[in-house]
Amino acid sequence: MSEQTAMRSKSRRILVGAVLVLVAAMVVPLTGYVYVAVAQPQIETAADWQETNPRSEYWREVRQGTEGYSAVKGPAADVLIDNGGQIFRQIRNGPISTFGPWVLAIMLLGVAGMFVLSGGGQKVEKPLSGKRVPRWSAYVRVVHWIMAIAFLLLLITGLSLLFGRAVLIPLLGAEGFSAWAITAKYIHNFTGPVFAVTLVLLVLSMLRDNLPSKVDVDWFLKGGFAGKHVPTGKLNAGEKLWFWFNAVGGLVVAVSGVVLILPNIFEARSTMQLALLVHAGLALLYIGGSFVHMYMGTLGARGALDAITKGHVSSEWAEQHHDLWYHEVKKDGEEFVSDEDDARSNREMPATGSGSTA
Amino acid sequence: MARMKFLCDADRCIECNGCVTACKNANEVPWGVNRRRVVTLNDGLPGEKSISVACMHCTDAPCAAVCPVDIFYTTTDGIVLHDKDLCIGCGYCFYACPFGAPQFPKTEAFGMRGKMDKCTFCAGGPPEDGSEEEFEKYGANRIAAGKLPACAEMCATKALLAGDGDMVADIYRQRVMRRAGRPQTWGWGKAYGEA
Repeated sequence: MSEQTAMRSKSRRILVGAVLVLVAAMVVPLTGYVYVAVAQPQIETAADWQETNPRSEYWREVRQGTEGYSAVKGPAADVLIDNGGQIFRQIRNGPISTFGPWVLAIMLLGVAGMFVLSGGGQKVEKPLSGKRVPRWSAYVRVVHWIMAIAFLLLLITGLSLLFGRAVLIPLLGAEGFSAWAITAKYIHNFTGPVFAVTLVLLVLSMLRDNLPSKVDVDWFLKGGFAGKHVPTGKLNAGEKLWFWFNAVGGLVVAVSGVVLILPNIFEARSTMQLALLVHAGLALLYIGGSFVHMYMGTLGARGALDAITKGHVSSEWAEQHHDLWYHEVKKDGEEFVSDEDDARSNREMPATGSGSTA
Repeated sequence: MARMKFLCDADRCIECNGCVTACKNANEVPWGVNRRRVVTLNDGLPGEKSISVACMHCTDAPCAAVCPVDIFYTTTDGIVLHDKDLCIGCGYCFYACPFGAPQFPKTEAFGMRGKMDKCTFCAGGPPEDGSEEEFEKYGANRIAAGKLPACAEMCATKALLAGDGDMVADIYRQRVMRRAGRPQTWGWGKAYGEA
């Protein structure tokens, strides 16, 4: 009995000892603060340190990009050394130039994978009856195609300016590429504003159709993005995601682009550096997204292209891809069979685009 | 082979802008473009200092690194030059340069940038040395004529030095050794207080 008690008190002592050692190991080093607190008055005070030697401190200020005075006027003329340029160089020639092509390659591969996995894209399952449903007004279609052509021009010229040095100079030679690059710069600068205007117009006219709803959450949860058919309205959640990427990301690309082509208004070097990095980085993601959009509109969902070229889709396509919307349209009696009907629907649909189907 | 360098002695520069004027005159730089400028920190306060700055002809030049058309080249003297015929006026070199050296004439529609202009160390450009075409596009080629950049030769107080880096460094080192007053090493004041 007493032996057991002794054993227990011994183990307790070991435990207490171990805890003490642990606590001490953590607390004792903190006494360094006590030393610092006590010794503080003996060290030079901050005020002593800040007493400057104009000769040596001058270079510190230069290195920190301190603004001075210069009789020469111009952007950035008052600063001797600006560190932002080095950051700009490292980001542009680093992540943007290296990850950008990977983003595009992965998106292209992804699209190819979707094409293969879906067995050559989704076709309309039911036989076509010839009945049609109006989908996009003439206004929306015209704006869309102006924007699409502008986008392609910007894509080709923009990628030329970013990757031409690595890809096109070996092919065209320095002079040949320079001639193309000057042309590309002009095309890019003058097409950009056209794109920006059509982007805003299209976003405004499609806004009502793209407001998120509970159906969209279900679409994502039930695997709509994987090609499964989930009940959906005029636009499914994937299409809405593309819309909102355009509305937000596209707008940022457009605004940063406008900043870049107006060097007389936005003079600050830091503004330009940031604008170019945002513009290039986001535009690469935008291009990657556009690959999916182009695929879905043509091969991915056969029959979808009619919506943005002819303005109407077959009833069977509508029922297969956008059943909730189709039933609503059918109930409203807006199913058409002939070209005259189509023409009438184009005339009747208001300029805001969505018509009574929204 | 010589490695050309600019060095501006902050203790000698009196902000007279003579280098800016000499450069404009020697190279007939267009209106609105200044290849060189003098920047004064703490202007009008005790301890104000001035430095004349232009293209520093970097070894690993950021302008050359970001140029989409790859128009920059370094001569055997270590001078960074560019080919205006190939320049597209995108302005990326201006964004990347720490010294604000690249300049753009605002002659095109909507103020778009023209072809970039910058200090050539008075070494002209790609066309034949001393040719009329070279002078028109790039300014004087004093290096080919055996002379140093006009800005440094014109400097009244000899604050601005230009030439072979080793010789410039020797001259500056001798100056510093003979100079009275406190050491001007970077951070000296912080490390040792009043010297």
